[in-house]
Amino acid sequence: MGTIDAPRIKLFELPLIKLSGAAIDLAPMIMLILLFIASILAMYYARKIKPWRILIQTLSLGMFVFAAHQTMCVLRTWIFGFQAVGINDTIAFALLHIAVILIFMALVGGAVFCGWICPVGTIQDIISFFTLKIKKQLSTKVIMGADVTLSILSIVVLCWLSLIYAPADFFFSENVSILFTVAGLAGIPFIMIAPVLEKKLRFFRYISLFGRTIIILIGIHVTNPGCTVFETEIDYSASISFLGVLMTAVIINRAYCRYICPFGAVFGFLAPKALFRIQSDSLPCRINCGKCASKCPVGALDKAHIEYSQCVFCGRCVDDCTHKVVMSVEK
Amino acid sequence: MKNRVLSSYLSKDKLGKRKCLPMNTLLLIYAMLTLTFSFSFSAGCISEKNKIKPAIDLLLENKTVEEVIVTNKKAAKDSTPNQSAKTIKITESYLSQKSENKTDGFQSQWPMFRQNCQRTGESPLTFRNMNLELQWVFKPSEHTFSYREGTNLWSESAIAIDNNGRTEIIVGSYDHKIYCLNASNGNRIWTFNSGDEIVATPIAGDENIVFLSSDRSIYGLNSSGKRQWIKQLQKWTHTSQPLVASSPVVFDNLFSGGYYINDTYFFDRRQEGYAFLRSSETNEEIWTVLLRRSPIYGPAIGDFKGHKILFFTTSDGIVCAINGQNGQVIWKFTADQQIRSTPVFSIINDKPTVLISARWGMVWAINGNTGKALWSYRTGHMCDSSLAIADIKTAPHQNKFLPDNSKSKSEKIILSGSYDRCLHGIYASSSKRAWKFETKGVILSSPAIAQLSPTAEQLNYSEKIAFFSSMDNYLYCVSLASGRKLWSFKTGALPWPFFKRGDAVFSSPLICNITTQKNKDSIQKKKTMVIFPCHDGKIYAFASKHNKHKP
Repeated sequence: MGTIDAPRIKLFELPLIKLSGAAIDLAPMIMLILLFIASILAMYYARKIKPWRILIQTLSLGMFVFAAHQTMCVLRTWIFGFQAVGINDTIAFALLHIAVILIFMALVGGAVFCGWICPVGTIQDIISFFTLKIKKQLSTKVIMGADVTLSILSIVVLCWLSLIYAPADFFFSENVSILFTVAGLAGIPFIMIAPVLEKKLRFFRYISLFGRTIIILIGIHVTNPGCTVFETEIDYSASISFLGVLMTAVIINRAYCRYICPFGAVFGFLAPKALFRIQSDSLPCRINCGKCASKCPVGALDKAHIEYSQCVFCGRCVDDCTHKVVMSVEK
Repeated sequence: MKNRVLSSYLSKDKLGKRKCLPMNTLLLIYAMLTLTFSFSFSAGCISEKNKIKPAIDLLLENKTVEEVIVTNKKAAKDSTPNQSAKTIKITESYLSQKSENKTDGFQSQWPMFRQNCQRTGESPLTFRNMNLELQWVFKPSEHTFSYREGTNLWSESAIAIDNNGRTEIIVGSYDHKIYCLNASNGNRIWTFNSGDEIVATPIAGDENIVFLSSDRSIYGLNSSGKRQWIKQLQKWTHTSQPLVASSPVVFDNLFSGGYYINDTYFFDRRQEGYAFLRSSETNEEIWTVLLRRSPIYGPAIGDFKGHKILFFTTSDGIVCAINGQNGQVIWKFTADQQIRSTPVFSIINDKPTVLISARWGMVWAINGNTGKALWSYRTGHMCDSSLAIADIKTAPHQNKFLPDNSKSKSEKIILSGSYDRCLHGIYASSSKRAWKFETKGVILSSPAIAQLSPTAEQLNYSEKIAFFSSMDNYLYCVSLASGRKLWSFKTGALPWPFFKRGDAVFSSPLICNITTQKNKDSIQKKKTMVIFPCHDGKIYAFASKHNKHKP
């Protein structure tokens, strides 16, 4: 039992754009829409996507983590928002508008939010950028051993920390984030041994979404690792599971996005129907060089076959297609 | 560009199917949703502009409150001469008549939520020692309704009044009743039935008890529980929702509070938060203003050289300073998040300061003159309970300073209970944390501050203590200076399995004293009690044990 003091890292602690004078801040919504439009335009028109993506990811990290005081809490607020409709429309708008914008974004651009805007994804990208550099210098056996050790270690550390910081009163309700994270991470050692299971573990994302939805409907205050980044809320389970996200990013690139993220599951449902998507000119690919598949951070590519429910729209495959015939952004 | 083949989303693929057919439908739904939202908002904003008098909105920073009041008065006289002049006249006459009639007995008890107009939550009463023992437990014998999740079991706090030498506890309940209990033994004296549950704390006027019920009415009762007057705030319709009322404040036979009426009728939706000032004796309305389209909390009252300024908070995150004379808004402050707590007024560093706790755990100190933020403090999690503030070096209502090593004459400590399971003690002068007291459950009720008399084991001077409850089912007592635990009591658990954040209002403890009479020499003795309407559905009363070794 212990408490953590939340660091105050936000540049602006008061609302930037007030909705009719109230404490409801419209700045995150406007930022989100602008970043979204910028990323779609970059995907569509830029010759080289990577520099634009890095720019937008940096901007979003700065805006959502260090600038805007309250950013996005969409995990459970939608249910409170629906409850407040008709009772207090101001509050209902405050709780619902980001969720509506995210769904709109998913319908237009698929999981652009994941690949370009989400700070959790950006932080995982940064970690895997460095770990991949180190891994290139090591032999496969060493990497395997280190990964299995680290994945088991991360589970142990998460359980241990949650036992120390577990609130005494409502263990289950307050630790949902940790429970789902640990349950998802428990599959990672098995993937190391049998890579066939990788595709099956991806289904856990939907279980995570379903489980959380049930718990939110009951009315329990659910958190997720993103709360730590978006809200600077040092909630016990959110912070500890965020540590788990960081640790697993070392093992598998964007492991949290692949196996656990409930938002990813929502995007997974909506993205195949999206207006914009990455598509190949000629399927199946005639060249089969496999370069795009090796670059994909979420493993959504298999011989130029794109799994739209997994794709985070980062554009690495489009950039790295050496023959410039395979990938394109389709409208 | 050359390599990127673009095609319209309406184009057909090889099988002749439209590729993104559901998109049209979904976009249409989205457009409708957006339109609904924007329409309701624009409608709300426009009607708000029409209904609220501009009233020198967000007054220029450099003006003092006195100047504002003068300009406000002039503006009011110029615009609507008859009504405003009448309003000011009534208020002034009330204030001049009643300001000198304060009695000590009235002050010493707990007449309203947070004890006083400033809402500091501090009682001047003294406990003899910390060996508190349970005096009585009260539980409503018959349950008209059963508990369900999120029931507001008791009103935000109970009140204690003196009635012919007998101390009475008055508390509103979820079962639509006002209970009047004898503070010495916990027996029920009378009950009064209203139409709906009573969440707002009743107030004790000079001769009567006033409360707002969720049945959209204000009731005035006499001391024996008979109804004197009733005022309906909103007519009942099939679509009208329960009234959300704030705990009113009482001063000089006037009372002020806020209420939120909500009518979900689609063609005439009403979501209106009003602030009002009324006479508690006759229920004469002095002013009522439409503040926001959200529930209103408060007020706390600040005295600016005889002018009463009322500070309200609204659940959409605004702190308003309102001129007590005519109900005009002097300044507004927008906090970082929604607010669910009552504001507190206090003089800190010789500045009039309004203290609020916002929903995501920020404690804000706002300059009472200008409405600008002075400092902020961040607790670990959400804050729904009201703050309490007390000077740890000065006893209340005494100008005598108590002996202490440090040179400064006063040091105020702000108490903030948070969802991070801690009670935070914050230095009011510097916004630094003095201490943090950890419990095992979230803290939802507001602390009540009392004094502890000097004893041989204790320090040389009286110490301040705070009572607060936590959802780990304990009532705690901590020292204000050091934050160490002095006493705790295990209460019962919630009647339902778990609580949802923010759905119920849990009651706070209060401090009162009772007169005990000894038969032998018939000397009247006062005994200080702490009374706690608990979240387990019972009311507990504690008092100090008789100290045999008293010198």
